[in-house]
Amino acid sequence: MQNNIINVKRVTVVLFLVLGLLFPVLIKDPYIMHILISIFIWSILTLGIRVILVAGYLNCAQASFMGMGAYASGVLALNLGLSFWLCLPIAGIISALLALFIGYPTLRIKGAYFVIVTFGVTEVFRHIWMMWSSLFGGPQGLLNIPRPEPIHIAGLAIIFNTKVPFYYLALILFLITVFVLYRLDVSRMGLILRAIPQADLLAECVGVNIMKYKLAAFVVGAFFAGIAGSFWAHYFTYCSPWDFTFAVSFYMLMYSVMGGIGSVLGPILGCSVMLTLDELLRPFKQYMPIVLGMILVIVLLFIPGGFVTIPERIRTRIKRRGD
Amino acid sequence: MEMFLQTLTNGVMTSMILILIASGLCIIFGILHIVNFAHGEFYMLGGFLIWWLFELHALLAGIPDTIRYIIAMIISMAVVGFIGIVVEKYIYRPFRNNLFSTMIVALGIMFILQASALVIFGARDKAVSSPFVGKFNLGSIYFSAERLAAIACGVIFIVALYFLIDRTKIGKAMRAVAQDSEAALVQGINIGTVFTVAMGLSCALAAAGGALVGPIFYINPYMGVEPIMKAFVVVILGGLGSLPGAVIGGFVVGITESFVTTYIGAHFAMLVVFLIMIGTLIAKPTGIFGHAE
Repeated sequence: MQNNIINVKRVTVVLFLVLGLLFPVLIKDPYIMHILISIFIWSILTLGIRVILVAGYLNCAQASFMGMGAYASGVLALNLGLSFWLCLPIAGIISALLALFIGYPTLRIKGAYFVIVTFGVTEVFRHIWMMWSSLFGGPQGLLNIPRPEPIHIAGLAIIFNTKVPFYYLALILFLITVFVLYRLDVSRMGLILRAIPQADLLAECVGVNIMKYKLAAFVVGAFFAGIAGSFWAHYFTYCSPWDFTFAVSFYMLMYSVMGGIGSVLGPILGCSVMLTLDELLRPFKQYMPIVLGMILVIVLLFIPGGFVTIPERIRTRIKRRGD
Repeated sequence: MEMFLQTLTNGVMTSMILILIASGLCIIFGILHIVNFAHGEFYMLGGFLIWWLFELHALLAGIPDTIRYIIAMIISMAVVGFIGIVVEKYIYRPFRNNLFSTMIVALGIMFILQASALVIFGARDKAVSSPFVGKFNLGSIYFSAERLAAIACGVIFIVALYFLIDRTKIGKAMRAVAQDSEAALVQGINIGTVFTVAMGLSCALAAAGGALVGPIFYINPYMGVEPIMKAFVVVILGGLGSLPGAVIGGFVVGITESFVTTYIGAHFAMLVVFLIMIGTLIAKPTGIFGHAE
């Protein structure tokens, strides 16, 4: 039985992988491809936010880390002429370092205080980007950020002038994120992080350095946010302070909770469902936050585990009826 | 000197509005244990209701503007308080004692209220004509009547709130629940009523803040965002759940902001305010008057 479940899981994963890889061959619509790219990037961001979320910390600064990645990458590419392929990891590292500096004093603070401080951090960063116009371009942001340089593999040049190479790049980044964060989730660190909301004192008493784990989780989340930000900046070729407000972090938090933070699949599911819905309801854009808020309240009231637990709920219900 | 006093008056006025919002946040946190992200939206609704009643529908036309304005303010406080009670009872209460879920739900409510206001009232700025016209002068220094009225109303509300919490039976019950809700329940205090009163009161205070700024600033669906951020800073500075802390924090933030805006620049104001908050938290993680949870 146990073996059977694993196989089903594996088959589904492989199926999705093949589908993901073949997608641009099957459907050539750039609009749909753009939506998928957004889903991949948002999934990276929400997966990053989830790492510290399972420890009971609502990180409202994830948008800032994304923005810092985007700005760092943009500034390096524009002012120093660095290649995108160098900017991408540097952006992640800069965001991670920033998280280290912010996390060290603030992660000591519990619950509500942490939320409000990270909320404040987003505003501080937005004002820094707005004011420091010589470096960050002020309120209009950075313009004309170069697209990634072409790469040559086996005599084949991949030029980033259509959506297809961006799609594959986003897919690869997404898969790396999922792989790393899945491994982290099932590791000792994942277990300890999940123990923190229930028994942080107990964990500390048995000799676990909680602060170290919380900080690591925060930094890892910020690293992936920086990567996503860098991709975002080079994909849209611009970034402005208004793209990284706390509202963006709120959306990330809501998407991950809707999808369910119990597993790695949850945030991905949350982003996929909500971003698709967002696109479908584009003609009624101003009603979208109302729909979003209502879905959120309904999910929290009736399916507290998020979308990801729906199949299991149906299964138990059928079983109960069968008995 | 003139500019200094003018800046000070502006600072005191901003502080009053901030204190009205922050004390509501404080009560909600102290009693219901909710970080109410949607609180700024109740403030925004207060502003819109005063616009709708006083400006658009000219409620009770004929009697003096000042009295009409006060009546409109009381109605908007009552309506917003009622909305708050409904939100608390049907949406927040199922998640009681779960800080995490209530915060996420509050985010949802924030988006719902903001977008609803946008759909109903539109995105354009609305102006409320001032019911308090004229200026007072102190020597060569002039104070506008509407700002002084806002300060006076703020003081009245805060003193009334103090008396309500310190001297009345329900206030005593509220303090008891804030200290230990289970022990309060054992003593026969109806916790549900206390929650309802606390939420209604907080939202009414936020609405009063919105109604007071109506004639001074513009009203739009996003007006609640900035005050709520500052109110969070105020609450954090003073210590979550501490009312005296909220008052002192309110003055610190409001006056700092006013002076930095006037003498250095508006963008620096928020930066300085947030840096003060982060600095305070690093020095004393529970705020000035706060104590560990």
